[in-house]
Amino acid sequence: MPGGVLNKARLQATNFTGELVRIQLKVLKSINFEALFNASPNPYVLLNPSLVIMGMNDAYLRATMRKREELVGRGMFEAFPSDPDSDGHRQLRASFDRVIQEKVTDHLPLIAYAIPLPDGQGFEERYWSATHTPLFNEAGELISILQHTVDVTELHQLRTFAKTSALLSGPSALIETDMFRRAQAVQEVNQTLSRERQHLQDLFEQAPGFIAALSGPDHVFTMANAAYRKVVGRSDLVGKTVQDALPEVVEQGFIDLLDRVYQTGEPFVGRGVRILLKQDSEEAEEHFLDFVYQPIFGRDGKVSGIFVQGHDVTDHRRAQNALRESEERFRAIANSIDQLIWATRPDGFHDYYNQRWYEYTGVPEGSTDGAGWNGMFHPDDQEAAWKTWRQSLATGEPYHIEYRLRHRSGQYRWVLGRAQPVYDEHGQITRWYGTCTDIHDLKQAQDELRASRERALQSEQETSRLAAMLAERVSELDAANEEIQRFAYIVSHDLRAPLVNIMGFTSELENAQKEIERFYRKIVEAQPSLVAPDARAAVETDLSEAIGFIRSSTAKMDKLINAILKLSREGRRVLAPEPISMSNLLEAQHRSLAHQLHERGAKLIIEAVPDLVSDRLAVEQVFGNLIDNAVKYLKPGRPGRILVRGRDLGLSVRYEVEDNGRGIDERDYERIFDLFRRSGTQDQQGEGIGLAHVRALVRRLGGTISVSSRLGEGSTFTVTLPKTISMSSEAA
Amino acid sequence: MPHQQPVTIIMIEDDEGHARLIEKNIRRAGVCNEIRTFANGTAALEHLFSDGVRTSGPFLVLLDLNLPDMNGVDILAKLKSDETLRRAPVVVLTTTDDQREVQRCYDLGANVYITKPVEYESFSQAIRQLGLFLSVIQVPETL
Repeated sequence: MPGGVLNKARLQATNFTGELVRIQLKVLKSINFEALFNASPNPYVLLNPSLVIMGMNDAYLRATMRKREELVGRGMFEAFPSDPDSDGHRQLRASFDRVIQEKVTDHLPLIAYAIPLPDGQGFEERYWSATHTPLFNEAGELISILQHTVDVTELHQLRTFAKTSALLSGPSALIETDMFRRAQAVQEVNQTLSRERQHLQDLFEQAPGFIAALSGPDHVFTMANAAYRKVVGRSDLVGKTVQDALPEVVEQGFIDLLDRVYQTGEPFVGRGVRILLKQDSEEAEEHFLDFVYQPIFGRDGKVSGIFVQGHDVTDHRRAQNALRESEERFRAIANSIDQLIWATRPDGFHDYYNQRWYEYTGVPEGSTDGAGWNGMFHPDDQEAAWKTWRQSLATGEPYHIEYRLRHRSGQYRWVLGRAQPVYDEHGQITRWYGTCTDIHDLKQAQDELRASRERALQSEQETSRLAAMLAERVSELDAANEEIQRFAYIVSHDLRAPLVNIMGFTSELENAQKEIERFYRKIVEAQPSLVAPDARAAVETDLSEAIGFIRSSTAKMDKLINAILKLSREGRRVLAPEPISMSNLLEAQHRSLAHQLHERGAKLIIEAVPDLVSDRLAVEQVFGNLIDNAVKYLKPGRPGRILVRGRDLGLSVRYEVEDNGRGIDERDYERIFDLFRRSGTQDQQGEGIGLAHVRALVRRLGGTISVSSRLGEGSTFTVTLPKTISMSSEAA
Repeated sequence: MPHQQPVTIIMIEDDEGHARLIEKNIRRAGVCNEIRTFANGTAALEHLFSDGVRTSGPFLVLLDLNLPDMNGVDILAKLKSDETLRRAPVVVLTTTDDQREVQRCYDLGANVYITKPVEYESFSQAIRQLGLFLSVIQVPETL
């Protein structure tokens, strides 16, 4: 199409504006609006957002008395220049600005704007009524502004005339039409304003904070948003006074507060103010509000009302209260437990200690804040504590240390220090919480235990050392015992050898004496004069006397030697343990003594006695000797009564041989057990070896023997023997 | 018939008094055999084991166990381990009657064990019994 090519070429020659025009025209063309546009009796001009004139219809050209080529491509204010300070210029520019910025249609009901005369001879004053309509592309961007402008100069002149002359001439159809359009436009503006108000109201209504406006000294609600209505729990507020609408707040002082704001014009700002409100139920509920009573001033500068704005902070307040309660509870707990508790900032600055800490250390509150804690510990532990603490602070690792804390008594006591960090949601340490637990007694007990264990070990070593020593001593003693026995044996042998000679040659002497005596008798008979007195004494008395003493002495010596031999032999005898029925053993001894007892008119009573495992021969000898002695040393003139009884002591058995005999002097209690020693009147046969022998036997059997007695009343011999003889006690 | 030899009494006794008393009592019991007395074991063994003596029995040995140079038990053992001398009866004379020692002597082949008594009477009695014993064995074995 040649027209299209031409058109295209022209458009190419033009700038960005031309492109937009093309688009616009194309749009218009597409709905065959171009013809409509051009044919419209109403003047139209199309501007781009830079207010460059892009096109217009013929009506526009007629109205402005211009030619098309004079206008296209020129700026509006270039084509129709005006004084920038004039009302018309400002009004027109403001209208364009509004369209461009707010992208809404703007109406200029009446604007005085002079236009240049076509002959170039000055300007002609005109009155216009204009509408600026924004046009958008598909992307919603503003691409052009359509100005519909009507010259209302005549109308204005007419109205002016009507005003001045009060003469109403019949309105022309044209004026009627324009007037109607204007009225319509004003209506539209009002609708826009109404929408804006609605929009503001919506915003106001939906505002998260509660908002209300009170008017007049009685504080009448002129508006209250949803949040406000929710807070107070009712909706029928507008038109009512606060006192009527919210009677429960009267007593709480809010009316007084409003009165004061109204009277003074000073705003009131309340934070976390407690108020009781009947929201949903009949029961008033506690709320906490942050709010402002802002006085509203009228044109006269006087307070005309109060703007109320605020937030319900009840939940926040409750959370705060809960937090405070939780903190109080923490403190209560922290102060009630035995542990010392402390807390620090993330940098390790100690800012909290519980009461126990201060009670324990006795230092004034706050004196260990910051880094002061370190000085509370033993000088030897301070460095380690710092090191450990710094390590924990640097790494976030739990703090764990044992150190000595100075107690208020001045004593350093061992405590276990522990701390854990607490993190926020970002993983940052917010605080450290630590404890100190007194472990002094525990530690001391541990130390004591360790020491005691060491001591036990030492004592065990000592015991085994002693045991070794004892074993050594025992074997030494055994050796010595053996030595003594051998010695006794040898001595008795060697003592006996000369004794044999003494006895033997005494016999020879006796034989010789008999011979001499016979010879002496013959001489006395035959030659009495030869017998000197000395010879007579020698033969008749001295010889036999001397021999008699030698004999009795050697006999005694022989007995002693035999006794020693017997003892030494007993020591060498190997013990043969066997179960022994003590009652049978004692009964047998009773029988063998029956004759003696009968002779002396004495009684032997054998009570129940425990049995034992031991060497039968030794046990027989022990009790044989004891009962023999009891019979032997009865008190003359008193019927003898000998009692044998026994008791089972568990590991050992105890036997008592009690008599009512002559008794033993306390001084002789030990002596009677010595060899060749006897007690009391020596009116009985004996060598003084019986009890020595008994004691030697009892000791060999692993037992003990003792005596208790009262002189003239009787004696009790007590023999304690192991129930089962241990052969290990018998040195092999 | 084998040649009959009277029994020679070998007395090994270090105590001169004992030796004298034993000899006196032997004689008093009517025993007239030759008594050769040795004061220690060495001399007695030397004599008994010397050529000419060892086989010239019969002997009766009166042995004291307590000798200064050696134990009588050793002498007994030596005698009893010799083919010839073992036939000689040995009378052990000692001052003790210790059963273990007595048993040991019998085990080694002692024929009689006599405790040296201090009572003259009992000693004489023992010697007399010994004399009777000697007269019994004075008839040498015909084996």
